[in-house]
Amino acid sequence: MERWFQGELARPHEGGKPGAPANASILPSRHLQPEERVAIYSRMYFARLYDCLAEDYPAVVKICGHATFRKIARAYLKEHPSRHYSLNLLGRKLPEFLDGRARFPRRALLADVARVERAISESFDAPVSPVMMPADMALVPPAAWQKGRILLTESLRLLALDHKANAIVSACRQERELPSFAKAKSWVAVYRKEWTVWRAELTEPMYTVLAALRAGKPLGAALAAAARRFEGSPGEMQAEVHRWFGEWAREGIFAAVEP
Amino acid sequence: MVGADRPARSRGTIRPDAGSSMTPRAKKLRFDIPNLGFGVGLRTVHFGHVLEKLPKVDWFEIVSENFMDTGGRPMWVLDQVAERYPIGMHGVSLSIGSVDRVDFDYLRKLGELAQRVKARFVSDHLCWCGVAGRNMHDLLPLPYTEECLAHCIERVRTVQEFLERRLVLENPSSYVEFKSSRMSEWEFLARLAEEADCGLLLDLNNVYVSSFNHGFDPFEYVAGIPAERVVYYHLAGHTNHGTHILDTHSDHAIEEVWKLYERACELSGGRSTLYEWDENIPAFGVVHGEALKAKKRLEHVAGKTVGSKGRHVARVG
Repeated sequence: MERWFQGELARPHEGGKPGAPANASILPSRHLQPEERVAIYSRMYFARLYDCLAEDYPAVVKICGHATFRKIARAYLKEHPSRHYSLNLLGRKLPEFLDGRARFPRRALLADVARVERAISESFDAPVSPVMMPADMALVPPAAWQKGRILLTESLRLLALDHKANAIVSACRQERELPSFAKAKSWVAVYRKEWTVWRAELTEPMYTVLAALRAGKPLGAALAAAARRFEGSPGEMQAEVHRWFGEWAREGIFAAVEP
Repeated sequence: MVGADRPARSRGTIRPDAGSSMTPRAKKLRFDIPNLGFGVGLRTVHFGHVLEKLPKVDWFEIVSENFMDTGGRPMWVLDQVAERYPIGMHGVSLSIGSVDRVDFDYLRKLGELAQRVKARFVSDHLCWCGVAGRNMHDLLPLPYTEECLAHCIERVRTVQEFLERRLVLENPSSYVEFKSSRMSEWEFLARLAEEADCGLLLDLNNVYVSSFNHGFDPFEYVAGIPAERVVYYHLAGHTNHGTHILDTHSDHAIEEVWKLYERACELSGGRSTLYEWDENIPAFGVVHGEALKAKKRLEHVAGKTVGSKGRHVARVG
């Protein structure tokens, strides 16, 4: 019974062969035939999950419109039906889905915008991790900085994108005119500070340092990787690194330094 | 709102307006669970108000799953609220009637959350949420058969053993009835509660919604629920589409639902009561106002009884 009922709920949205007729299992009511009664559940199923996806990806919806997003949602739910008790995880694979075999207008742009919105959701729900403030960092021995591992806050998400997706998301949220959809490399940090999720545009060297630290590389190796992407003198780089780390410390991006 | 579509009530049922002299002795709750009084659901839109104003609310109910996988602001808010108010946990994904295996990872997280917020009770619904690993994120209906009853009894026992606490199950709203059903929903719930030794959460709005959709007498339903196992009541509004009613939690409760609440309180003497509002959520004071209406209704029931019997049957929490 449960398999049949579940199939009838999903079928109008996902396709597939019709199962046994509803009147074989379901009684009519005073006003509705069995199939109309089952359809109540089917409509609610898609409406609920659609609303959830649209709530998680408002900028994607704004760019493609509700009609296209409904098609995206139907195709996505067919390929990635919910298998978790939490609706918070329902849309977690949407960026990869848009990058995959899906055929929708501007799908590469939509995938990048979805990445930013997904990162916002993940950062919002991330576990609490300790924060090293600038005063704590002053106590770390110099040797530990060079050879130790710098742990970053759990809520930090680092994105390397092919569009100015962060600016697009900001414009959508602030109901401003949308910026250009043209391809352009961009790098973004998404993190939570005092229960609010923040987004910061990064340069490629900044992204490279943080990505290397996130991958567990010591600071020296992370800076060396960044230097290869830095356009300027070593002195200028040193000044920039000093500024970056001060800013990141104030934003609570560092969790700890492990010897 | 309901008009001619309202289902007929059977003649033999005691109506709340039939006079309190017909009120039977109120049933004491079988379990050692306190009456928390009149609470409301803790919803995101009210987080700021609740933390800033610390309103005089008896207790809050949370949707368990909304706090099970987050380390963000919702959990921080809940910790603050749980320090100041009693918390009841209400889940939507236990899927007690599913033929899939029990999800022990889910139960572990549910138990951890209950411990963290010192939950006074943990409730969910008589329903299933999906099969073959899928979750449809709905409270899907069950056929009321002996086979299904045995299945649910076994799973309730498993859950209670794992959580080391009594489970409280709510009657769902439903939009279909199965041909295979061999007993009423209230008989199914009564037998399940008795044989699995669990508590019940009686949602009077759900009783009304299902009575409209299926054409049964809602007062017969309330009378058929063992009052001594009812841990708490839910109240809410709904949306009437003419041909059927949807349980939308989007409005004030209608008078018929309040009458059912009064009748249930006559039978139980009053229990913890919770007002749910989940769509088009108004200002906190409006939702809390509905919970306070419940308090007045219970006082009315208690007053009627005092007038006719000379003793209180209801504790106004």
